[in-house]
Amino acid sequence: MNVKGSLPLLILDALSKGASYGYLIAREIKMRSAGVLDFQEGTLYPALHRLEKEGWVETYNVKVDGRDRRYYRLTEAGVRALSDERRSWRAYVNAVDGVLGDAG
Amino acid sequence: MRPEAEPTFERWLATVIHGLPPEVAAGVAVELTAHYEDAVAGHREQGQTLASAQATALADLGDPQVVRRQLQRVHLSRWERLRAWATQVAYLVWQRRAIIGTGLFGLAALAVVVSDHRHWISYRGHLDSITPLALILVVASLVLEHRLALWSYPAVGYLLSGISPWLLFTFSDAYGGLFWDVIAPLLLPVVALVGLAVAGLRQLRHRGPRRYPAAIWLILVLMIIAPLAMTGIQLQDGGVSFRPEALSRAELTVNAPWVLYMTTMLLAPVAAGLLGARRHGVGAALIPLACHYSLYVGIVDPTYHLTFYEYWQPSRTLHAIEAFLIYLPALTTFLVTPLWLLRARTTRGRIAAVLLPTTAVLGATPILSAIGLQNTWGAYTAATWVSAAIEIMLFILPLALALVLYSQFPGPILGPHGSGPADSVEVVERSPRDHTPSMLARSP
Repeated sequence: MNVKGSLPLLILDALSKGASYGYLIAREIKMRSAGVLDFQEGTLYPALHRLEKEGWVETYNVKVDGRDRRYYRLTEAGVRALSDERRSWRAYVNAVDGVLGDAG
Repeated sequence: MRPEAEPTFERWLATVIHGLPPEVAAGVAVELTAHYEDAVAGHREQGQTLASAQATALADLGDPQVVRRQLQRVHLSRWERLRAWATQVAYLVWQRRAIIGTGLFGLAALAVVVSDHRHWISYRGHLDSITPLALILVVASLVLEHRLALWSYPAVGYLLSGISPWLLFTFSDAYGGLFWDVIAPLLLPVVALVGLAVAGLRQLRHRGPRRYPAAIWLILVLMIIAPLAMTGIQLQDGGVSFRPEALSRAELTVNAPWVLYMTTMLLAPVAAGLLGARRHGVGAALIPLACHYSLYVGIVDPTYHLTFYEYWQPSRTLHAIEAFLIYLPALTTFLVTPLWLLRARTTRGRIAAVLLPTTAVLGATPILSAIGLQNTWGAYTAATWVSAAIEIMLFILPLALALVLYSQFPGPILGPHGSGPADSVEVVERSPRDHTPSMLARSP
């Protein structure tokens, strides 16, 4: 299932458990959805950079095996945004469920 | 033949960061490289081989163009994205300049033939609409590549083939008389041939093989015999000249120098092409081929047989065949063969690119004419077929000569250990002033 529109929400949710980096965030999303939610892993980075520009995440570097690894963590604004996004998502899902329920 | 290069992460990354500001590109490269290496390590832990793990990790990253576009949306303003897009398009066009230039010239030549529905695209010299385009291609080649690049060769051949007819008709129309009508047409190509052949042979003497294959001498002998045989057949059977009345022996005898003139004209571009063979080997055959087109439609009009009989036997079939015969030579000479040649990766492929379409067109002419003229008084006889075969030989022999010579012709840069066939040079050659790979070399 393509996650194109909901990738920022999924990223914010993954980061709500703590700071993480790109590869791990991708694994987290795919693992928790049991592989149902699929996306091109390269597109994770434009989404992360967009969230950083919005001020919802911030970054810091950690040296791992002599190499810089870029970690992302939620900001206060990001926590609020995640809460808003979750509410919007629930409303959307309930609305769709309502329509499908009527149809069924 | 070389296999297509496997996609690599480095190429994927280069595509992704193309057009991004340097500081952003550096950060993205670090992040994506770490992601790729983590992914490869993860797949290896699951038991995959290194190659398989790399392929899976690369596939998981997705389409680099999509990632590039999304990153540009984040990091570039609208104007910067537009500029990056324009740069990318210009880069792609530049990478494919050989194919694009050749294709554009071929389409323009074809468009002229189709729109004007005319046979003699350059018979009276190059005063037609594609001459400026040919000149632009040649100048662009000199400016961009500091030399006559392979993709300009059809245009070079086209311009070269127009010089002699232009001189011929200019002086013939202006002065008239025996000298300008008969002697000058014979002298012009002879002088051109001698000059070009001397220049070509000087290079052959310095860099060519010590002994030439017997095929070269055989082709040269056939080139002399063929026009004489053609005249002989016409003397025996005036019907093959497609005139309602048989030509007189005197008329046909006078025709012999014209046939020799045509042969000389066919040889001249071969000599000219030899100069280009130093750099492009078989590819230089595009010059004689482009010349041949003008000569073919100008001197041996492929629709002559049909249009002559059409006057008495008009039919839809004849019109369809006539249109096909008009467009086919331009299509193959200016489009199919050059593009095929540019894409060919082996010597055999390049020779096939030059010979097969040309032979197909030459062969199609008498076959279609014979079909169109069935049950008319111009139906093909044995003498007609022999005459047609010789006509085909007249065009194929100079091309074959060019190909044999080119295959023997070493290139300018062979590395530290001496000579080799021209095609081995094409893959590795570098111009001292231009360090881009040869167009015939596959880019990595």
